[in-house]
Amino acid sequence: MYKKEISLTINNESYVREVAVNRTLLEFLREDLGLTGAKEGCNEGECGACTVLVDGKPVNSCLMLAVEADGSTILTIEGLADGDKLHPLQQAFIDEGAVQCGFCTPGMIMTGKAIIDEYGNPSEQEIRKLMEGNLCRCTGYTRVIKTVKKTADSMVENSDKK
Amino acid sequence: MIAKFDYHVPATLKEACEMKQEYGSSGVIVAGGSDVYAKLHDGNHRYDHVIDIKKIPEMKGIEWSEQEGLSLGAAVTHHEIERHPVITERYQVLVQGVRTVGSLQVRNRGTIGGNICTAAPSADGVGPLLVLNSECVIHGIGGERIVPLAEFFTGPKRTVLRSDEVLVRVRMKNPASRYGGAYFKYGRRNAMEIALLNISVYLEVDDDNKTCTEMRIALGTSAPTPIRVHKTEQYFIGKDLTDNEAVAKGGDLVIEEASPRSSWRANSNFRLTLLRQLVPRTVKTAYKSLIEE
Repeated sequence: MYKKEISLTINNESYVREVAVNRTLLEFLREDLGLTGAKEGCNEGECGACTVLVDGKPVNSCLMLAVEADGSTILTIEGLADGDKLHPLQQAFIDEGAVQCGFCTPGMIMTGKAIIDEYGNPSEQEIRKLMEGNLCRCTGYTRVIKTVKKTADSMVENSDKK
Repeated sequence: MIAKFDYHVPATLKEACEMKQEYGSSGVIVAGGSDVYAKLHDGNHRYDHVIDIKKIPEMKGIEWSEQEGLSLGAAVTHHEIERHPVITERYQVLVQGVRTVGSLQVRNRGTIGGNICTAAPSADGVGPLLVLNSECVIHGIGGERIVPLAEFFTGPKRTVLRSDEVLVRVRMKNPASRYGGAYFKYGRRNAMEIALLNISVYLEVDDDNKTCTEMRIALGTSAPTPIRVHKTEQYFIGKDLTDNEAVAKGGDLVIEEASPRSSWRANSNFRLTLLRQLVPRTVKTAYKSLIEE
């Protein structure tokens, strides 16, 4: 069987598609669906530029087959904003200047979001450890880590108020 | 792009074993794919058949009981292990090891069974499992057999698995209620690193809180396979673990049992120098974790 029909939810939309079994999830998203937010960097699981959330968990979409995503719920950077309203982490990346060339940013933000979802308000040290799979080749990590931490702090604060 | 292959998803162990037997070297068993698909991307490798074993019920899930201890399905991910409440409480040394595998993204896909079956001398999950005296549940067409993890590896990337066999689970008894454990990974950087060397230690002490009654030490990238160093372990029995000189002597002994190779990543002498220093240090860390708990 070289092709297989898969059905999955991506950014709140349902898709039923036939895909070649050797197609990676990243190729499927970018080339078949035109969702080019996730990037191909190393294509071997080192750089994290292709990070998307599968059932809430950050994964390297270059190391996963599209057929393996059958039945799952996927979130990419394109689905993170609520209409015109950016996710707090997206807004914070802009406000804090945590972006330089931007190539690693979609992966950084998706991992950051997943960490906040799973760990609530992790320490800066924990964030450093958990984001080790997202490489930036421009400038470094200080602003990225601080931005994730700041966003986690304010999201916890806001949820306490509610 | 990954070269074309035929994709199989066996639903049962029997099917998986039959497929593995049938496709032989033209097939590959895949769980999380973090090793296999990375390798297939480089263009120099290809398989005609990919056998994805993730849907097989016996390979899933973490089971634990006071009587039986811990049983990990081969398809359990590293992240499931590092987040499991009982494992984080009672199997700290295992958590220390698996949380240094790749990245969060890799740990969300990569499985403990894959870490074992890839049989890399550097595997981060294997050393801790060795010092926890783990055993492998293996299934073949003829049935099931149990092999101690210490006997599972036969060489670099080689295991005792026969052409029709798959690893189903890895299991271990509960550690003593009081033990010290430590995993030390030596690399050139903290993130996304393959160990130049790794050391796992499990120890128990007498009621005096310092005389060693049980010592288990596993080394990674120090021999063609992950190994236990039984002579060095034996040396430590009865020693006072607060005696720095006695502990340091363990480092002199351990290099007699190790046989690291020179690779582009480090030469053999450097690895031996590291072992002499780091084995005593890791023993001390393990001892400290016991005393301070």
